[in-house]
Amino acid sequence: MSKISIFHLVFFLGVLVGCGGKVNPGDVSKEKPKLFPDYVDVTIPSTIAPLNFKAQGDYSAIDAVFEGKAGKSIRVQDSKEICIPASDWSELLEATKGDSLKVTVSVKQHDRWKQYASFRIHVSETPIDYGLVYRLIAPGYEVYSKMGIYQRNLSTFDQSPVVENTLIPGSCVNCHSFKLTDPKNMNFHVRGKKGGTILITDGKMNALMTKTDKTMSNFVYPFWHPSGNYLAYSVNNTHQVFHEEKGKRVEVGDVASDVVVYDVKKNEALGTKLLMQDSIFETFPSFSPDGKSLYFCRAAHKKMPDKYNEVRYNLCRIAFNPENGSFGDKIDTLFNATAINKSVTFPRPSPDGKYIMFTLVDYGNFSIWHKEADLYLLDLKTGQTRCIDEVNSDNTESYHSWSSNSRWFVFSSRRIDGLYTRPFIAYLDENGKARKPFLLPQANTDYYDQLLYSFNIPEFVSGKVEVDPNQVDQLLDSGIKKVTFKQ
Amino acid sequence: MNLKKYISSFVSTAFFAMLVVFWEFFYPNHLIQKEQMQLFMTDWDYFIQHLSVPGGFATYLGEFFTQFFLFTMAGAWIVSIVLFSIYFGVKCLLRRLFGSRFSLLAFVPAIAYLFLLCNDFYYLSGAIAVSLSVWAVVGYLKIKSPASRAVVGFVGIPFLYWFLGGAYVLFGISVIASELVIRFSKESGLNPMKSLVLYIAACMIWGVAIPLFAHRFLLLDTLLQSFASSAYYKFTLAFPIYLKLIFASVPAIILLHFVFLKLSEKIRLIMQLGFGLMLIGTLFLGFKKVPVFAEEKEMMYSNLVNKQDWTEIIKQAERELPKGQQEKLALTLALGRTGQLSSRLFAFSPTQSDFFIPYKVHGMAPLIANEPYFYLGFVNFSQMLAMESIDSSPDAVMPVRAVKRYAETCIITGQYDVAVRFLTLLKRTLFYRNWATKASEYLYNDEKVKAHPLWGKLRASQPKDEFYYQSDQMDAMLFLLLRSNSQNRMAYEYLMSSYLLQKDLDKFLEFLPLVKSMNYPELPLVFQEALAYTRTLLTDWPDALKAYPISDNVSKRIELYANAFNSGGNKNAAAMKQSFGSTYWYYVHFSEPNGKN
Repeated sequence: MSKISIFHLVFFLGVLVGCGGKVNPGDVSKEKPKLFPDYVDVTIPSTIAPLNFKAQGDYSAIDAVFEGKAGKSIRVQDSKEICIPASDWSELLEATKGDSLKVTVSVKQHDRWKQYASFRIHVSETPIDYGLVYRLIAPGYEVYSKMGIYQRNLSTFDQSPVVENTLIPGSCVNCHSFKLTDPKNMNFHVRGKKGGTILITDGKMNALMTKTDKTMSNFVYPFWHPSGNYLAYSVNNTHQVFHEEKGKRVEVGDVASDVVVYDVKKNEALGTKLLMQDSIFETFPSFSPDGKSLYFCRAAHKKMPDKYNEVRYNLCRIAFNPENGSFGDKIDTLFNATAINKSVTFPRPSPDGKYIMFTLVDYGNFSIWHKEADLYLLDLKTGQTRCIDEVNSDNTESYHSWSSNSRWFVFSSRRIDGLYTRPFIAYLDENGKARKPFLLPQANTDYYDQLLYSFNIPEFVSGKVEVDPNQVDQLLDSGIKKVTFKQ
Repeated sequence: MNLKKYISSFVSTAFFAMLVVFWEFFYPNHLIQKEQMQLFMTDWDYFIQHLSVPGGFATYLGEFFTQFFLFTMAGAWIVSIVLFSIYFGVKCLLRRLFGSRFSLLAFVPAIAYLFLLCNDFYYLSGAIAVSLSVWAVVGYLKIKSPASRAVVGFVGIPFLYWFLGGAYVLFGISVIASELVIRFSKESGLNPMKSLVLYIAACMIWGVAIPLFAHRFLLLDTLLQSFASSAYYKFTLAFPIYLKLIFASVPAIILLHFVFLKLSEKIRLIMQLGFGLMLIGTLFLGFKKVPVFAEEKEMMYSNLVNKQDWTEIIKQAERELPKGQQEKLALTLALGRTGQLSSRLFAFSPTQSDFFIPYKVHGMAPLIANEPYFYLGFVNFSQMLAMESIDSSPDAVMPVRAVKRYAETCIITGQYDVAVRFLTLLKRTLFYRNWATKASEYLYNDEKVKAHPLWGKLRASQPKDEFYYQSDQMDAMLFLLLRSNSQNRMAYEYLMSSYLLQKDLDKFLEFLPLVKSMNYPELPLVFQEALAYTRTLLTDWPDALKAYPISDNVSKRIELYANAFNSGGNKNAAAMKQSFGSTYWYYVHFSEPNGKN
């Protein structure tokens, strides 16, 4: 008994000595460390949750020193990962706003400490919104089991469900969107036997049946008008095909699609022939920040699914009059992607009206399954478009969303493993130059390794979203309003 | 030991034996599939994750024991022990309340659960929860002081609610029924009404309030699920009436037995005999009506495919022709894997639909659906169907068989980063850990994958042409597969079988020259029969076809066939089937690709 106790005591002391104390690096490398997530030289907002990380490769201990302004610093040492105390981190970032942290990482390998070259984490003074809202869904094919829309406070690791499909059994929840980043003005769809579109305006919830006699489907891809009086939606007749070719999996395309605008006050879908042409696929609408233009993607109709790889969308614009809900009589092409054999998806204007960010792929409109998908930025002042090389990777970059101040954007990327979509956040400076993006931090550095769900449609929100699931259920049961159509 | 005790022991033993025999010899494949439908992980995180929801502990126990269903005998014994423990618990409960009087009523909940477990939508965890709740009532009744019992009852309701889910209702109502019996029995000196009414009301309010509180403050689930939990039934939409009846049966048995004991000895004896006969009748009828033996057979084939026991599949088919879609798919796959598709296909009355299960969005994608695609070399389609099996699981629990297959397909296609995730999950299990560890050695090692006897071949077989899945265009897809790898004998046999089943001899002849690259020792029998038949249709036998020798035996047999056919056999399919049922000629004249004769 006493032998066991002494053994335990010795072991305990050994652990204390091995994992604590001052690190005297035996080797100093000129290389910066390879971390997961890769936080080397990233730019972050001062309110972001601790950037916990682990180093790649084998080691018995890891040590990190974070040095900020005014002599403030944090030192963390562990056998596996660097988990930074939240309050210390918050204080350090606050003190280092507008400057950068110097981070020095060392790892213990074969009883020798190896110190890597220090790197910087730039702490921007520009604030970021309260949180993110995203859908977590398995990157499957057609069927789904459990999924939900969740919100995450960016300053902490708190994630909570907004709505889960288990609350409305047999359903799918998708396409959440907000008026700018306002949590009190939200939209999402519930698909299934008991389906409908949930529209929350100034905190008041309504359920809509959006299929009309004149439109081919329920409302699909949404975008809020800045006034909150309208939402633009696409209506799509969608199909999927499954590739056998190595490196490809799924192709989702439209057999037909149109764009309409929903008038919130009149509960009416507004259409124009220019956006509802049989010979054209129109999709992914978005309003300009002044509310006077409607951007959308437009492609020549092709026989589907046979010619799915010949469908290419341009970025177009039509005038919109928010006073009376009328449309302009001509369509402008802002970016002619077909001319370079490419296709545009997800045009998202920055709230300050300077840019439109979009995804460019070889063909089609379902960019998440396109490895070549990259983010592009159209400068609306100069008309110049450029690939945002600062944030793109060799793998898919697809959905993206702007912060309310237009200086941060979140985008989904499959760069980690080629399948699971993860949210990355990047800073865009006043010259339109993006900084190295960072992966949404998590408390546990194994989080992304273990999570078998993709982050779908990450959207910034300026506050906590409050959705009463029971009310959703009740409205879909008995309070659903049928949308009418007007052309 | 008196006679009654002997009878009681005999009946109990017979019941247990019956349970073991049924699960081990009549319904084992259902148990094996239950194991395939879950992914039980042995680590602490997984346990804690389960404890965070009502009924989670029962679910954990159910999954823990279900992992042993991988071994048929273990599965049969585990289920039998759980069901027997329900019976024995009720028996002990009655004994504690009423003394040593044996009652056949004690069998009712166990027999009911026996038949529920024949249905895959009901979990073993539900049976465990019912058993533990019954034993909780037995424990409750061991407490002599009414005040202590009241405290235990009050603590027990939330405790059992959180750990066992819906079966807390069984506990709560059984406690109320037991108290009724105790307080109305002659021996009790307590005032029955006042304290009893208070206690019943408190128990009922407590039992309703706790799930409501959990629903409001702790859980994000439907109200029904907050009461019932997901430990019992796969679908969250409903809580079947059968489960409610089982929960209600235990307190009902307590009350019925109480009334029963008020009757005279003679009437009790007659009633026991009558009830005994009823139970036997129920068992007889239940075994006849409830287990779906056709489904059991389908599962047997599916499980044999999972074990890659191709010989046993063919043996089973030789004994009795497969009827179900999964059985037929397994058979054609077994024939393909053993190189017998081109020699024995028509011995098993094949149809065009035997080769693949059409992809459907509704319902769960069967675990077997991806298998032919996998072995043929359509690795992406196999991966797709494996993922669909995972994602279409109604309870969002990952089926380990599909997870394993998904990991394999990722290794074959070089998606190592994704494979890691799934192998990591498998490494957290008891029985798939070794496989996953060995499979991990192949990660990021293309040369090792290429050298793997199966994965290497499948990687080499992957199509180089771009095409997409169309269930009605399997011939075209097989052709493209074959074009990418002209050595893919199984794809070739599937393609040729398809043409022969469609009676498309032009296509058969068009692709016949490829037979030379397949390294057959001689022209396969089915091809010979098709050629011999073609020869009867032509006036001149082209030189090009003379390169494909037809054996003397086949030549003689077709002559015999022609004679029989022309001598009235054309109108006597049964007689022709007896002599020539396994030939292609019989198929051509008497069968349709859709299976109609």
